[in-house]
Amino acid sequence: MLKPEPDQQAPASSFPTCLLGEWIVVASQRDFLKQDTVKTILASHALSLHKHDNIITVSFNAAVMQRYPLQLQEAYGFVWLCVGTPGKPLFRLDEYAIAGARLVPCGAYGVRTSPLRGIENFLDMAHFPYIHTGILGAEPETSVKPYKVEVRQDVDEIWATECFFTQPMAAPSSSQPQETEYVYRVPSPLNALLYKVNQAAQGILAADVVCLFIQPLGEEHIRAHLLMILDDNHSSMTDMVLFQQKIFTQDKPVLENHLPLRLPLKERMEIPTRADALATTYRKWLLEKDWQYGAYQASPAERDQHQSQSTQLYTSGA
Amino acid sequence: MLQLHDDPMSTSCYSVRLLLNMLNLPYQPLYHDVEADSDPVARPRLEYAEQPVHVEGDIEILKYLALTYDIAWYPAENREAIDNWLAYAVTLQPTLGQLRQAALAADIFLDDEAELKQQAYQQLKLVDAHLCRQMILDQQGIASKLPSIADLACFPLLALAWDAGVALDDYVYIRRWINRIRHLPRFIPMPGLLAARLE
Repeated sequence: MLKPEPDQQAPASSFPTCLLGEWIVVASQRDFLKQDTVKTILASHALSLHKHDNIITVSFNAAVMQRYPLQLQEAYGFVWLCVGTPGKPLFRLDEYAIAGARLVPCGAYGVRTSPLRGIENFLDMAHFPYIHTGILGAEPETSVKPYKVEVRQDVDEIWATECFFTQPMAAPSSSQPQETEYVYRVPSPLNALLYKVNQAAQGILAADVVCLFIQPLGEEHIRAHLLMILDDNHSSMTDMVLFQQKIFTQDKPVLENHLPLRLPLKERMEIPTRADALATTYRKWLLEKDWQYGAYQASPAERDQHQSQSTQLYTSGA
Repeated sequence: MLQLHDDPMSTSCYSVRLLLNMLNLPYQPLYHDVEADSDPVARPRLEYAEQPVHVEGDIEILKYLALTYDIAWYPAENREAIDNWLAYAVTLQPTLGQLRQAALAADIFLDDEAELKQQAYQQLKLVDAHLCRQMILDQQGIASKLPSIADLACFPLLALAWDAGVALDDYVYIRRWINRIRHLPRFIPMPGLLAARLE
């Protein structure tokens, strides 16, 4: 096991460039039920959110943050902050407003990993039978069938469609194993959604939606905010929250023991297979954006080593 | 039927769940209603559906269950040492417990985090040295020859030190003891702690 990194990283001198213009979740609206002020952290910068007359305002402690324009909005049960000028509007989540859809906020979890590993794990179906045994997958049904991935240029979002996986207990309301159809959507680098066709549904939603919104506390420490939008008016809220909590806490130790914690984008350190087409697209998309925050940067010596290792691997496989 | 007011993420509740499973006692978990405007289960509470018996708090429940169902978990000859370690388990709450709570939800940012970690490492050092002595004396438990309720009271926060951002690398006797507990018959895992794979 690695020794945990010190939490309080050296105060950042400025705000990371690639986070500028991104809509990032910083709190849940529910945080304001019992208090007017919420203190939290974004990219190693402490900030306060204050609610007065139903309007939330933000202030950063560090003087260095004064130079950036700030925008705040409340949407989908969360408070979103954009430092700098927004690159694009906050993504649309139309299911949130559909009458009769069950909104299940599942809380936030602190995880000691990089924001990018957090998203990538969410996009990976191959780990279901091993990490979520008996719930989202089970041996011997471990193969990931081929699926389609595209970057939709008009909205700059990644979509993966036609994903099928056999699951023992796809949702809290499942009574028997089912082949589940998934659609994954990455509307921005720190937010991911999955649409899951639920056969026990009552016709309110075409698919259940599970959302993961990541608040980067640092490059190796995140708060993962979870929201489900379900077509299920029978299960108790407690059962649904505990179901999602169980899934997420199964992922947590695995995420925290990845080496390196930051996601290698350029380095050939991790060899993808066909099942990783979505993760590979995510990494390429980040590279095209010149995204650095939470990405692994090899030292020149390490880079040489990885190059020669991967060359050997290909040679011996030939 | 036994009923336990339970929270899957609570280490105190986990101590009780461990003993209930090891005693092979069926029970019904009762969870806090997330929609109700009440507080989550802060302390485990044990009840019987048909009898007016209520026991509250992990230490009290552990003692009660051992005295009622299987005294081997609270042997008379080691009672003083076990009581001492039950009391010690409580002192892990303000250090490891508070650090874990802050790290899990990441909604509390502690001002004295460095100091709490320092105190936690001091405690780990003490427990590690003690478990080393126990090994030399051929004692598998923290306070007795075989694991007792003292082990189950101390186990969750020590085994989940990682959740608190505290590394166990330097404490080999603690890690060995954690593995022994994980391999006990009828052990159950909890979020953040994997089940032992039995070969």
